[in-house]
Amino acid sequence: MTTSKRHLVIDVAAVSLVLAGFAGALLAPTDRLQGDLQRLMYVHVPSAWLAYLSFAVTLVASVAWLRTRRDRWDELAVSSVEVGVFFTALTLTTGSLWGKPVWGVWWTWDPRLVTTALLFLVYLGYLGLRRGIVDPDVRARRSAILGIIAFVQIPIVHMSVVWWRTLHQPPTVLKPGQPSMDPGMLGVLLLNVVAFTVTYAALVRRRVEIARAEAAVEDALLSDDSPLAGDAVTAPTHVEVLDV
Amino acid sequence: MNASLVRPLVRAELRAEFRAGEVVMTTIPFAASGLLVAAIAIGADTPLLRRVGPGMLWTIVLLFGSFVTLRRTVSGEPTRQEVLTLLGVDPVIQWVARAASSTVLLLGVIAVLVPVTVVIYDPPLTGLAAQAVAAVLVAVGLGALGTLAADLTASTRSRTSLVPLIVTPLTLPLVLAAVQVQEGAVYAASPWPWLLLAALTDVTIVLAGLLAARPLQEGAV
Repeated sequence: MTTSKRHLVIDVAAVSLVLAGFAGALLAPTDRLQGDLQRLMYVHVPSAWLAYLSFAVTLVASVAWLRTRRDRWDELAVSSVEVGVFFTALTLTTGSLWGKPVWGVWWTWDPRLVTTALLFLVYLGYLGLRRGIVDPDVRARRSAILGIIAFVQIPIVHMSVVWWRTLHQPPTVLKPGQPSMDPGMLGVLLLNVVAFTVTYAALVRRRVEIARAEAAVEDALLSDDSPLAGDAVTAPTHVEVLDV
Repeated sequence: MNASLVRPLVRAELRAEFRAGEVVMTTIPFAASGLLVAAIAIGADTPLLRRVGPGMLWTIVLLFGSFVTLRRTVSGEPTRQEVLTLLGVDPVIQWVARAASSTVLLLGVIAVLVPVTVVIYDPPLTGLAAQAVAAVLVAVGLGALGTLAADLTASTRSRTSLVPLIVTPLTLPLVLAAVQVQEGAVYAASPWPWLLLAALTDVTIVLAGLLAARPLQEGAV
């Protein structure tokens, strides 16, 4: 990919984010009960959606790596986890900021909050695992297995608000039947979801390029035949040893 | 796949552990001191201690359980695994044996920590049969997931912190179920939904371990 094309993808993502941000701040109707505070939804919900999407992409890429052993699937899996961890952190942060004025606490025993926090920690573990393994093949294999196991949490996180009814509201969009939301709010929310998804695609694309560059450096280091420090010292010959 | 090999392998794992005494001499005393320190930190509020006791027990079991699956007799001897593989022992059988031996040791840890909790926290002793079933389910799930995580992190840097990081969040349903079974017993609520949750979690973890055993050992020798 040329540098100008690379910049174009990032530029499109940035512009779409700015436009969606303006729509959330200015076009969306104000909530009758929560006022402007409710506008946090236009960041909170797309972030959560992106977290689901990122880890689903990792699941697919992990299965694909185990089947094909092609490096590109491993690069996609790790790139998607990194971006997904960022969006999960954003979900937790915006949720906490929203929770304080509405619920009166930054954090509470709520199944959605707890399962999302655990999701975040397990994928941090995924990244930690990758950092701890030097061999690229072993690293790809083990992280593919963890990438599949960790995905089990996604349905639990999504359904937690249905199975255990506590503070967090149940799904309003991703549920059977019509979304239970004002059409104006829903339109702006969907616009933000699209903008965040474009941003996700741009970030993952860029991260995959970095992963490829890292792999190339690793290969170069492993196959490097430049002299080692010890090569400067030559071992004494048999005759020299006898002379001493 | 020769399943009859599991029993001698478990026996060998346990014999190695009893000779080394790592779990008995280090993990259990450390876990018991954790229970004691937590009680001191909470203070002399007896009703509060009584209420938080079961939660403390399962938190300590969860945190220290990871160290049981990382014990030196298993993780410190990769050559044993290599020899078994070269002898043609199926990786699935090896995984089952390691997970089963960890489960037995975890049951031992729980058996020691329960009386310690009763002495320090004095929790209400009701619904003991359901709590015993919950303890077995926690030991099975923790043993299986710990073994899987230990295999995932084999020969890695910072393994001792990576295993708890992977195990702790994924075993939350087990801790939740164990605590809720105890709390339900106090209020005469049915333990079955929580036992079912723990059993389902165990089945998922064991299936994941069985499926991952072969790919994980691929290229290990």
